[in-house]
Amino acid sequence: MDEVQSMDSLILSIKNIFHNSTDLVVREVSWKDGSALVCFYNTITESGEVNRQIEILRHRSIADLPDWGNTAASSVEAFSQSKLVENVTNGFVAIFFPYPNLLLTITMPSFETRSTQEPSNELVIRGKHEGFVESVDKNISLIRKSLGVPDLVVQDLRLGEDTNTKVTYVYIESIADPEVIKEVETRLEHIHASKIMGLGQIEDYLEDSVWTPFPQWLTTERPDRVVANILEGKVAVFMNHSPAALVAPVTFFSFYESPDDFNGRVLVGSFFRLLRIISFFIAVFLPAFYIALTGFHPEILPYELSKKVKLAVEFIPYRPMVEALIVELFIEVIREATIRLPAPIGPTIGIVGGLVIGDAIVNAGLVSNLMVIVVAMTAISSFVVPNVEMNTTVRILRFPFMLAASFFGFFGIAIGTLILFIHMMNQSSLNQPYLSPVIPFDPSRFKNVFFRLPYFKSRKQQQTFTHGAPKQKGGGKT
Amino acid sequence: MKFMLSRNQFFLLLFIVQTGSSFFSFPAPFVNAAGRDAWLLFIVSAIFHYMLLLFYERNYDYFTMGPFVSWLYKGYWLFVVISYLAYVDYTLAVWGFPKTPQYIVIGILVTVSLYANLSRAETAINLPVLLIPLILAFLGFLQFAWGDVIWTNIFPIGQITGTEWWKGLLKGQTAFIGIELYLVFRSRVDIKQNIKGLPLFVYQMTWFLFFFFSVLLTIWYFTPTGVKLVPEPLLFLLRTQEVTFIERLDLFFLYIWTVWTIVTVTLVSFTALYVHRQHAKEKQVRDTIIWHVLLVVLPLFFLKKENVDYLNDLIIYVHLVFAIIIPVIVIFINRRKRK
Amino acid sequence: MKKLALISIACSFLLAGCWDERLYKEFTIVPLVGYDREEGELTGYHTYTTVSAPDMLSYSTVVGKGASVKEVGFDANRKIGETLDFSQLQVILVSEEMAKSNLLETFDVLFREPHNRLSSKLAVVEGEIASYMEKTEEMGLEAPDFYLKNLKTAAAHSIIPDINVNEASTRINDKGIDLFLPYIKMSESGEIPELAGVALFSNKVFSGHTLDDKESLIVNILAKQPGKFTVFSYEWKQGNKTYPITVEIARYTKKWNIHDNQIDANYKVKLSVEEFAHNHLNDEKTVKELEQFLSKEMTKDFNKVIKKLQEAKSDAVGFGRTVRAFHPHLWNEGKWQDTFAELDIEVKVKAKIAHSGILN
Repeated sequence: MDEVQSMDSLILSIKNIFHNSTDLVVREVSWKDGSALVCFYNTITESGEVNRQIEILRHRSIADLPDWGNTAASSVEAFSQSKLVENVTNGFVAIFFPYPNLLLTITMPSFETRSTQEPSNELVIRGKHEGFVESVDKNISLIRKSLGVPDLVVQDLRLGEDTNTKVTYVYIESIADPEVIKEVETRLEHIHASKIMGLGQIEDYLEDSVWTPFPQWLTTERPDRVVANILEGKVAVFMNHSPAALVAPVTFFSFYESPDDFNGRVLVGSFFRLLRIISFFIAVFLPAFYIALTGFHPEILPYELSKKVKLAVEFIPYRPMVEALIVELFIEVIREATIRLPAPIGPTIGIVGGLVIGDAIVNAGLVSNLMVIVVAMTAISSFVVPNVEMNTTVRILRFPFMLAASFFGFFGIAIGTLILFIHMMNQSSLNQPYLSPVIPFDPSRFKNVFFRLPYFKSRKQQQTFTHGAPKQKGGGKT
Repeated sequence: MKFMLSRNQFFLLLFIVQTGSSFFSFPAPFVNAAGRDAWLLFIVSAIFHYMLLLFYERNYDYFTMGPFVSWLYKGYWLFVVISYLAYVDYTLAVWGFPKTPQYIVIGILVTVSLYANLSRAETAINLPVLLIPLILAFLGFLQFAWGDVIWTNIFPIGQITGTEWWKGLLKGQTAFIGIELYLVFRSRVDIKQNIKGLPLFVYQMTWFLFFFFSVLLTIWYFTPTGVKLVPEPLLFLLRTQEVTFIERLDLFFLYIWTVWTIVTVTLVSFTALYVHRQHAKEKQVRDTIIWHVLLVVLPLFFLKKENVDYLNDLIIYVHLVFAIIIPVIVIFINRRKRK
Repeated sequence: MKKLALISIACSFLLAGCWDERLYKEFTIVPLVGYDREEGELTGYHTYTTVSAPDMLSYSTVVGKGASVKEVGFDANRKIGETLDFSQLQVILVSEEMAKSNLLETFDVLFREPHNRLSSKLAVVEGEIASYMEKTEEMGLEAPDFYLKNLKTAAAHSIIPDINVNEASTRINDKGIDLFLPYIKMSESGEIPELAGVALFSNKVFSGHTLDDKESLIVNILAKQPGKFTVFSYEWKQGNKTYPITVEIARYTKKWNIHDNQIDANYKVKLSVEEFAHNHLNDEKTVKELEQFLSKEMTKDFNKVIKKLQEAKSDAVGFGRTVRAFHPHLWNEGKWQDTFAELDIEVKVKAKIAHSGILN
């Protein structure tokens, strides 16, 4: 900007940069040796607070302190237009001194944030009742609060040319595997998108394989979960304005762990851990099992039960597969609808949908009552997983199994299980085996999977697919 | 393909390959050939098995395959896999899929192996882990048969004749098939983990007890006339058990056995392809696919009962050549060379 | 194009099902069958279930004729226009005539077809089979449930052996033991079938001899295959008064001494007293007397049963299994059933009172 420009034209040109937004404040303020321009958005910055800060700085400048512009909340640098734009859009206050051509920045954004309430989709009974909010600074503060160590490293970068979104990753230097950190860095740097809308989008870029139903990053809104995970050497990725963190590398079984396990008693924790893993099998296999039963192997039913099944299926016009699809579709629709419904009428619709229609559909003879039991059991079991993403995965997984069962009965289920197993073994999370400790097979680690052991020992993630190989080297894809 | 095995992985792999298809097909012909004293015979056979393992352990370093030997072995493994597939497909056709075209069933079985073999080497190696809970369930459910066994069936002891000895020892070899994988993968085992001595003995005992139990149960449960009628005695035995919550355990275990066999087929295919890649490094995917196409096509020629039985008889002699004669020759030659 | 083809193939599967699908609703369950043979022709009575209303099962019976079990079934299928499914078979009744041929050969289909179960119960009935298949008012239950329940209860009380199709086949195949099956008679009023005891088989076929329920209980004890409750009742004379005494066998051991042409079977029985109005079981003298009395009575009864078995040439106890295993010279003397009939078998029971109940 030209020195000869008058203050007024300067104000106009700055306003032009921001396209004359009405919430932009550009004012001339007098300073010790001439006037300066204060520039901020009054919607994201408190005007009163700005006055107070400016007053402090003015006093410092009058007192002629060396480096009077550098305080805990402010800094001075050479002026450039891009700096000005960046600072103002981020909610800072920029003070422009035209004659020394300096830019003083006061860091004081006041974005509206929620309070750190417990996330409603990840409730626990015991443990912290805190949750992340839509501000990365607050989120990091929640983590720092639990981990008072200098080893906790916070790094950030900005992604998306249009959205200019801040993405932050957090790890513990002494525990995390440097190669994992490097991998995260490279993957983050390789994101070339004009818009970064949400964490899910970043997850797509960070995943090893996008087309698998299994999430390779653990999404959580709980600080305690993130803390426990980064203490095991994992990396957590935050995005500004998103109340969740992504954690990796994870294994399949870590989705079945809940902070409740570690806060509760050992036996109780182990019991619920086992219960969750059993519920995984129910959720995936039960409808398929029932279809195979009524379509291929009715002889395995004990006599008393066979009479009941016979009564139930006798007048159903559809094949078991179609029957199951009807109920499944019905339940999924109810579930989807109740999420969108306003809170006061949600339960009502749930009852109408679940009880009234469910009863009517059986009475009308469209589906058998046993099928309703089976599908309802399955739906409930799938919600046991303490993670929303894995829950959707589990719900989707059962459809291929139902199809396989309707083609080949138990044989189809057996083959499906094998294929699923191979698929899971092929998956990796940040190049580390997803189905550890099954691959590489290590019996001594299984106890950690199925039981919550009495002491919480931070254990490192299994790093390679090959037993005993130097990390990241072995097990090249064939 | 670079991979390393832990001791557990190595023995698990070996165990699954050795028990794979044979644990259902083994007891009936063995007991029929050896009569009431089959269990005695099996102890003798197990000692032989242990000696063979010790011999392998001493000399595995000398067992290196040139292209010629490697092609011989690939042919052998192809034969093994085909006879397994023909057997499992015949059994499935009889039990559950009489009307389904057989190429579809074989196609499905082989697809699994193809998928596993196109994945990382570690995927195939660790596939047997899936079977551990299933094997435990199988052994658990077999315990229900204790109430029905007739202890006196093994008496009188020692009436076995010379021909029965000979025939029984031959039939007993069915339980050995797959032992040659020891030589192939032994050098891949973590050097830090000890195999010699106790671990090898533990493996031998696991293998022995597993088969010994099945032989003993067959003798105890069936009369000699009965066992002649039933080709898969253990499956039949499960069929007769009454458990309160479910009938017909045999159907479950038929499919568990199918999974077991597929895993075996996958592992043997993996071994063959692994050996193949040591001297043919290019076009690995193409070779893998060709191998599996062969697996779909070839068993279709052997799907009759008499063919399946013929293969099951023949495989014993072929196995003897490849588990004992060729390794001994190769090791002998290599020892001479290195001296 | 490729995707479209895949999707249409998948959809066609959904509509058509697969080659080997057996939809349960298309089959008719048969829980009870009865077979009779007359001059080589097999007549089969099948009790099958139909769903008459959405929540009611009703039972009817259809008769089929033919040369084999399967053919009889097809004949019945044709008559009612439904497919009978034998995979839920619970009880098989056979007439005496039928039991006189090798049952294993007749019921080959049960073993050969993978869908059939081997846990069905077998029983022999007296006279015409048709009358047993009908539900009478006195039964209270449907015929299949009636038989199943009766056979189960009787087996629990050791009155009949707990023998299903598989156990029967094992016994028929085993030369050292003979089969014995529950024997069912019409009650004297002709209204309700009753368990009358057991039918003794000799060398794979029905011998024509039967035992009544008290005797069959003793066979079960002799063979050491008692059910849950094994109860004996005797009348004990004391002075000129008689007291009924009921004892239950708590546990017992058997020991067979087999010599040339002679078997000494010793049983040591520990009893718990269930009824004994005379009381004074804390008195050692009374107990001694009682034990001697019971030993004598039981020995007498047991020996009677053995005689009957020998008459029928039916080794239902299974002495032959032990003889085959440990005494080959005796076993090799000839056909076991003949040897058994000639053997000198002496049973000795030594009773001991272990519990007296909660009274003295």
